[in-house]
Amino acid sequence: MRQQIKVFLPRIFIYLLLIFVSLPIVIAYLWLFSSSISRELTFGVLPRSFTLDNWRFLWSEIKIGTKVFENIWPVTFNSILLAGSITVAEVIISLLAGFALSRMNFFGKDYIMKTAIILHAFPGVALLIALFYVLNFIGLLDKIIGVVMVKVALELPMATWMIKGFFDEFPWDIEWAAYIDGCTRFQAWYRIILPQIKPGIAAVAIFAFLAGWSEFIYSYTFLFSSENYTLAVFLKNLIGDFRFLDYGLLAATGLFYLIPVIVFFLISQKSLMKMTFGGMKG
Amino acid sequence: MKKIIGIFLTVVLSMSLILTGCGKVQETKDAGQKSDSGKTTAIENIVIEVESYGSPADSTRSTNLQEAAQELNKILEEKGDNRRVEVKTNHVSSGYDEYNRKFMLAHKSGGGADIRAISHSDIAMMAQGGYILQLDDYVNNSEWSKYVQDIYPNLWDASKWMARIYGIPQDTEARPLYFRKDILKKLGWSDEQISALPEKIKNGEFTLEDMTRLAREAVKKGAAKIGIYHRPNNGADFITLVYDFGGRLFDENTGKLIFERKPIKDTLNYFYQIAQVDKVIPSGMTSMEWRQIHKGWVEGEVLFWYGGTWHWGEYQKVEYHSKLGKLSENYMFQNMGYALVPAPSKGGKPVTLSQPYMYVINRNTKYPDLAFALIAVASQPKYNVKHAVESGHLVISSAAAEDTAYKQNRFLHDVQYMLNYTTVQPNHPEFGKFTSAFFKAIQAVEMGEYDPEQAVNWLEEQLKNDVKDMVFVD
Amino acid sequence: MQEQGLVVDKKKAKKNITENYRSFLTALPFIGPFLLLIILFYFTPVILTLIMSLTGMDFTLEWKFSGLENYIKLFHDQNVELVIINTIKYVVFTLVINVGFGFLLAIATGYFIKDENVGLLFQTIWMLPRMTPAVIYALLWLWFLDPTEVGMLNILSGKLFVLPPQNWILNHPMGVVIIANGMIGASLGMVVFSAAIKSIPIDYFQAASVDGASDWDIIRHVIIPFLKWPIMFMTIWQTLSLITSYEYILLLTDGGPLNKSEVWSLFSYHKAFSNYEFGYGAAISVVLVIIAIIIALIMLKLFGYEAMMNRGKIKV
Repeated sequence: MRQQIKVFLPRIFIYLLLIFVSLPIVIAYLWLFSSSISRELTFGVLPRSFTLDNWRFLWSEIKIGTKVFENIWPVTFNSILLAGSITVAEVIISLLAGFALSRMNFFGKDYIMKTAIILHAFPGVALLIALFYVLNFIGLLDKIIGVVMVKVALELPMATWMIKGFFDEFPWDIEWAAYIDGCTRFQAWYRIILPQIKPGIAAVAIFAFLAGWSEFIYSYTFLFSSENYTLAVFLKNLIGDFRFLDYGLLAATGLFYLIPVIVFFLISQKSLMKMTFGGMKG
Repeated sequence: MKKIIGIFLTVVLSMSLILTGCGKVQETKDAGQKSDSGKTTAIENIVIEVESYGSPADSTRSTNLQEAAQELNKILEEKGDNRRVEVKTNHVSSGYDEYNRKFMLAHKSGGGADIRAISHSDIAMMAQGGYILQLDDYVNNSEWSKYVQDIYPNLWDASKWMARIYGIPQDTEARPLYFRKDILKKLGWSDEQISALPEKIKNGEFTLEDMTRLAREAVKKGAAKIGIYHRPNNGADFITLVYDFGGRLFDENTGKLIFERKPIKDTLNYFYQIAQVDKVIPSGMTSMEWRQIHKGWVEGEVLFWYGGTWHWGEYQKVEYHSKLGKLSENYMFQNMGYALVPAPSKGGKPVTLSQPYMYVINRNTKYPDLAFALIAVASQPKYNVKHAVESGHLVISSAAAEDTAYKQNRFLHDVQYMLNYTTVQPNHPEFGKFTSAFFKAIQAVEMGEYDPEQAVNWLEEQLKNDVKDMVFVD
Repeated sequence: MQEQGLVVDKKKAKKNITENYRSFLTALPFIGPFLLLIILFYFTPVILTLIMSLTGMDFTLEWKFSGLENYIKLFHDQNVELVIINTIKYVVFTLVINVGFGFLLAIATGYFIKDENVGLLFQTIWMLPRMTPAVIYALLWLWFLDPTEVGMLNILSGKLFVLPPQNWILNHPMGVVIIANGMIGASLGMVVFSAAIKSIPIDYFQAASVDGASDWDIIRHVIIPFLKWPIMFMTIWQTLSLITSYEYILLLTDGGPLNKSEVWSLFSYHKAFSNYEFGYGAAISVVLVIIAIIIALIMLKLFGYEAMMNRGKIKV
């Protein structure tokens, strides 16, 4: 009996502690949800009366004073385009580079690998002004594709590093067999190895999508015209104008922005949790 | 060595293939738009992009140009010009710095809106940076000159940098001190006393000190929750008080900014007094939210409010009041009064400040003549008065001031006299650095971090480091 | 063996340049796009920033060379001291939450809670802040800390301790920034450490419990020794991330009030983008770049290049 108490007491204590520290997070997100479907809240979190009015941005225009906001759907499309392109580009480029770094021996490889580590530690955001000039020079300013390239470049060292680990695990014999069958390097990469490292590809893709979907600072700085706004920029403007005016509207828009992330996260949760040191920004 | 370059080039080339592949989506979209607009054979449709900044009730700054485009198109048709103007608008209400910054970056990349509405005080920066067109020729001798002839000369002055015109006045305003009549009544003021207050302020009989005392009384007796509100972020309102304390910030003769220690310290001392000594404003005033301030004011929790004439329009357009929503003008006349900013000492001169807005034309625009024509047409009284009446601004020309709709507007009529007491901010490219540092100094004294002496020393050192071209006077 | 091959390869490389390029050319289709992006968006900006820091670039966006003026100005700037102190406070305290609290969470969810699904549930909850786009995460905080009586924290402190509404962000800007960032970082620590705990061979735990070791003993003598490297790694890694990131601070307090939560990277952003002192902002960035490189090199030295890259199987 005493033995059991000795085992259980710390367990119960740990549970209580966990619940206590996790509660604020749960409350905050519950709050977001409640205020999006209700006009008034009880105890700050529970909905009192149900309304869809806060979600009106989905089917009608949002107006404040005489000012009309952008329609949400083109903005959403931009966000999908941005996150989608980032995912595709990042996966393809990191798969190519990861393969070379893991399975090939070439001049300069050591330098590239070393710099890849240092690069991830590099203050990309601190170079904002210079990035402006680069984008301007190659004519990709105020274009979503420009933000895509900057973001991909910033995430690339980490993604490559991560994917290289998967290539490293892949048995050399199988690849060797492919070459004996007359495959070129590229064919071996594409036909034999890639299908085998799907979990790695999935992990890189998930991180890339999440990073792209949440991207804020570059879109905010490098996209000028309202037709190129992404959800993050749109929401930032909405917050500026509505923060003390219409909490419900903000909550609904915020939730709208958050839904894909949550869905994506829940689907990929298990594989995400297994990643060690993997491509997360801190 | 050559080989390295060769390798590099192949990489670049192979990459540029990928790039063009990705860029296609956008290009086709653009092309689609162009072919859409250019399908009629003879007539050329020209899209002019307009962006403006202001409260959500000020979007007429953009939409007026949209309406004027129709009139302009008729004029163009009559004179056989086969170009037609279509206006695309974007009215921004959050973040004036970002509004300008985005334009500057867009301009450097060869783009940016064709026409923008900006504060006159940014003309210097925009002109010196080569972002906007010099307009003297258009204003003085072009076929469109007649539309802008009778704009008030003092507004033209505000549009100049180095004696050249860079902007066309869009509107002007005054920044009155609002007071709640209902709160004064609770303090036992009679209707006569209340309606005499603006006059007393005008004559210098009611001073800043009286105002603070009154605010303290209202808070103490529970008639008001808070004595005074001022804007929560950096802006021209604080400059008003420097002028009120007799300060000068700019030397016209040398074209240099001046830092006069005494009036600036007096101003800082004023904010220190009301926040830390008399406690009639929240010490965290400078980190409050606009919406919260407006809500508190329209709901009658605050006795005095350093506002602007445009707020009169804004309160009738935006739902700040949690019960009444948009205010009716009647409610406002019943409960709110407006006056100049009181003088600091008995018999002194009260002030207000105007910050005229200007339309400026992007140097990158392909159609400067049409852009100017559009602005010129929109400067006519019918557009200008509409904006003035709807948003609580003052008109730009004597013709507009004669307009019946404008004359009948009681509020605008009431505040017109303030222009005799008005001041403007200097047009200097580095003045923005002064205002932002000055705002921080005000924040410091209000929060009680610094006393006025420390704050003025901090400010002086900061400006010596930040601003290249400033004369310091003790 | 591969090592030797590589060394030999290197020696050959010096002698036989054409062969080097041939090997590089075969790898080029694979490594090319990677290199191009890195050159375009890392190396070029760094060089540009270096050059820009030697100019007085302002709102005109012109490259007006001014030598070391910006660095001298930085030396005399009265805000620098406060900004450095803020940055140190921010990095150190956020690190404590990231690593320390992340470690506690990992132990709780990965060791104490035996039911894997329950552990996963808590981990999911803690991953939420990280997954949430910064704009919304900041918005949630702004609501939580709303200075009026509708703010969640004010409701709580009002109901529990009968306190008047407080302006939390105004009174404790650094605290808010640290906790908000810490909650995001803690989840990374949690995931990494709990994965490390899971990888500890089960024999160790069994042997320990046969010996009658308490939970505390197990944590001290089994888990912590195993987690030594991950913890060190996380610490350095997060230090790097923290000194360079400012997105959340920008959205939450914007460095205010009165520079009280202004950190080095945000300082550079403000100078460049609010004051239009692009040259000066670049000079401030350069300092950051140098610090980041130093830390990265320390990290490389500490963990060893080999260990970090877990060198793959190379056969040529």
